[in-house]
Amino acid sequence: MEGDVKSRITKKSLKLSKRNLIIAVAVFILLLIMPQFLSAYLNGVAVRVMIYILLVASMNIVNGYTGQFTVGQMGFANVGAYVTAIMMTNYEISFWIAVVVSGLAASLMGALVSYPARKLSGLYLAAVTLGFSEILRVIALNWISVTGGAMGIAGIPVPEIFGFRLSTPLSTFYMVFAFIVIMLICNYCVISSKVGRAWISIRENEEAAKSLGINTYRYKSLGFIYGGFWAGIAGAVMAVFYRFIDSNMFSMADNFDVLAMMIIGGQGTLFGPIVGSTLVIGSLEAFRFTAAYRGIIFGGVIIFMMWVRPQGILGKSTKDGPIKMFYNKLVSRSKANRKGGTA
Amino acid sequence: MNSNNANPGIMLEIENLEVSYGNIQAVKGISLKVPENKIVTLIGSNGAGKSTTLSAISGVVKKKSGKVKFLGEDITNVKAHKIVGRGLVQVPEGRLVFPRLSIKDNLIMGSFSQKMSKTKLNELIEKQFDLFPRLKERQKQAAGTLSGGEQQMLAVSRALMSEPKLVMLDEPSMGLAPMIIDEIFELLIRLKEEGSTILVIEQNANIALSVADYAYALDLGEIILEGTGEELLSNEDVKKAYLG
Amino acid sequence: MTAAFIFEQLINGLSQGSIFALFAIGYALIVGVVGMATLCHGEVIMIGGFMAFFTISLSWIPTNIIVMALICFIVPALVGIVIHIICYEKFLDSPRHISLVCTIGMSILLINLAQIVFGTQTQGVRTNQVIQPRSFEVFGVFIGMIEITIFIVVIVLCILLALFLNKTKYGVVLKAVSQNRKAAALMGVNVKRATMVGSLLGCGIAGIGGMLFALYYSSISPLIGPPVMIRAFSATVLGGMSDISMSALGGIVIGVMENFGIAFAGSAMRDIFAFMFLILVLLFLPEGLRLGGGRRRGR
Repeated sequence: MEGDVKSRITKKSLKLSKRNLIIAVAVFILLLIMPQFLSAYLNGVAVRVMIYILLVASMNIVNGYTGQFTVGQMGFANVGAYVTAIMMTNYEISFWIAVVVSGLAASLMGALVSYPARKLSGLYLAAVTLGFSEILRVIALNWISVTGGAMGIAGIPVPEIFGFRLSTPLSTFYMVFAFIVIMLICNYCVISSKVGRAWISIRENEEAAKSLGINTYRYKSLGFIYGGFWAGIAGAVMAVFYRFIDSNMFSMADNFDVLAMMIIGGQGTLFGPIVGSTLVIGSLEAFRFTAAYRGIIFGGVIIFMMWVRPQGILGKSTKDGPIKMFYNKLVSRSKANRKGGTA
Repeated sequence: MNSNNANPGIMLEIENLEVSYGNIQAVKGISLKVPENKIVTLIGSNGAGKSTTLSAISGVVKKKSGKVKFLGEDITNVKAHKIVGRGLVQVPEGRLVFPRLSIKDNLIMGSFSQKMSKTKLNELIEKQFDLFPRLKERQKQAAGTLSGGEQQMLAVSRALMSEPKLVMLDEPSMGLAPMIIDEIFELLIRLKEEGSTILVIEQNANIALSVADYAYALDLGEIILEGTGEELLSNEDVKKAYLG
Repeated sequence: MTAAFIFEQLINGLSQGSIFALFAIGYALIVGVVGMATLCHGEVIMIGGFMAFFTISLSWIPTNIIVMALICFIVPALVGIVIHIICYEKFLDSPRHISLVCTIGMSILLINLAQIVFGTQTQGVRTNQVIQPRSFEVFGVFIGMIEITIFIVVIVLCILLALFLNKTKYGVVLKAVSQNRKAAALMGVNVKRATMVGSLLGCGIAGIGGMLFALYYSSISPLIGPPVMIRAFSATVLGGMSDISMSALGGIVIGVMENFGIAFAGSAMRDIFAFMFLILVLLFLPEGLRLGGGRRRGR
């Protein structure tokens, strides 16, 4: 009986209804074929979108599932990027090993920040995670012997698989796509596992979770560790896609961009990061011609989203948003008209 | 009084009030009257909708439907900060004193809704101190350092600073020792004798019913019983449900 | 490691710290009265700085410090009203992260708007036109008119603010709203108007801080928002986000910490001192300090 309730809760929070599954599969196939017909430029944009998907998803795990307000994922990506860059340029280690090490190194950073984070919440927690990301950025900027300081690391080689060099946006697309699929599967597994349930209970009511014997500190740290891992992977991908990295690619503003994408997509949902990243990067690219005004539009869109649909596109809310309320009014008015006379 | 008043002598009248929080309906259509210079009480257990009713009257919470009339005038859609100015004041649940303001500053805040000269203000403050000598002793102290009973006295005198026509109290007995509760309710009787009208929300039905002229019993957002204080006090169902 | 060197760092630290204190006071005022944290405070400061720039460079504005201070207060205060309408008013009773994200959007919008209107380059601010480039020698160290001006302005502002908050009726109202919004509403306070005044005042004070910032560094750029925001925020954390005096103290401590810190660690590490201060404070005082006790409002 209890297991029944548990599985129903997890299934519901993942919205894994039959309809969604069919849509997901259709989209999957579409995405596999699409890049063949797109220009290198568009594929490049797609890769950027997918990098952000990894980043936003990593933030989403910590924010949306464990309920810890983090704004510092770029710091972990920073670490991942440098680890991969150094391993590949200085030591000529294969990307496939470097990427895993990057993820683990970033996880370690996640574990580190989770320690002061344990007792904090809300804005304070966000500030500490942001601070940690900035501290990592400044350290990387100044640890010249290891990171090359402000010069960054250039000439990062491309990944090779079975002798085939992944040097075009098209090939990188498929690589990152594979990463995302793996991540989605991992996320689903983790969230449906004991860990995921602990996370959700901590998110909903930490005190209650504690009283049920859940070691909240440990699970909160696990959140940062797991989220950090994927941010590190994203950083590694950035290293081999841009083939150049420097610490300023992981600034405070970048952290806020990731936050905005997460909120717009809808936090605490499996596909929210995908929607958020696609929408934001997609529209930024589409509006490229507006040049300087792009930023104003971006800021305006964020404000607009908060006014109209603060729970994000895929998010669920406790209150009906203005659009739904308007829709409800229309429905009830038409019902009243059909019944004839006042409702 | 007011020629608009269809019911002379009725200070506050609620008709079919409904209040929802999101999809949960907390108040499902209640009607009640508070006559001038009487003590009326609303009793009921936790979650019955008592506080919500008060919040709706004060305009702090949105009403789904229904009417609220004060002194014969419809105040259903009047904004919260204007309602106090009309002479309808609330002593909120949990006292809600301003913790880091001094007692004197708290009292000054109470007079905010009324325009008054400095002399009048000081007069009123002295009046409260006469009512509550303990507050006078500690007038420079921060309100957050007072005991529960003292905070309740402060909350009441703060409300009286605006010289209200109707005072509404939300669970004044909560968290207080029995002796203090007696003091507070004796004060309510005294206020009535001096001409005030009072609406009291209480979980402690015993004491509320013993001072009330008229009472309503609320359960799950609906009024299930009404009558004089004595009637309800001796009612068997009420005894079983609320009087323990 | 002479006494003169230490004294010099101290003067620098106190000067910059006083400016940070103004930022923090403005921030604490906003967070306290409005009840919500903002992330576009840095941009308001930046606008204040640019107002100082324009006062000097536009010939039809008389170049004296009083006019400059007025402009650097009023314009950011007006921006504070706009921010209130867009980011706070609608969300007074909503979960706090919504208004926070809204201020992020506002911040992005303001930075880009500033870059379009003011240009993307750092502008030089001819401080000498407003403040005489004189210095006085004290204990072997030179204190310039600029430092003295900063100290005077900050102290005067603090006194004015303290008088307002403690001795005037509306000042008590603002304090009341920051301590218990619901009770204030029940007293007949128009809470929306009070929070707007809080935003207006906080931004005005921040604007003056921006003015001093521009004068001190003799430069201003549209991008100073984020680093300045960090210092304001970290300083305010010392005061539990809404205590004004503690926030001011936090600002001064960060200023001094930064100057001594970079004297030893090099200027590249400048940005992280504020964060280090933040993390240390939160590690040992998860709720911040508050003068005069009292319950801390829950989040």
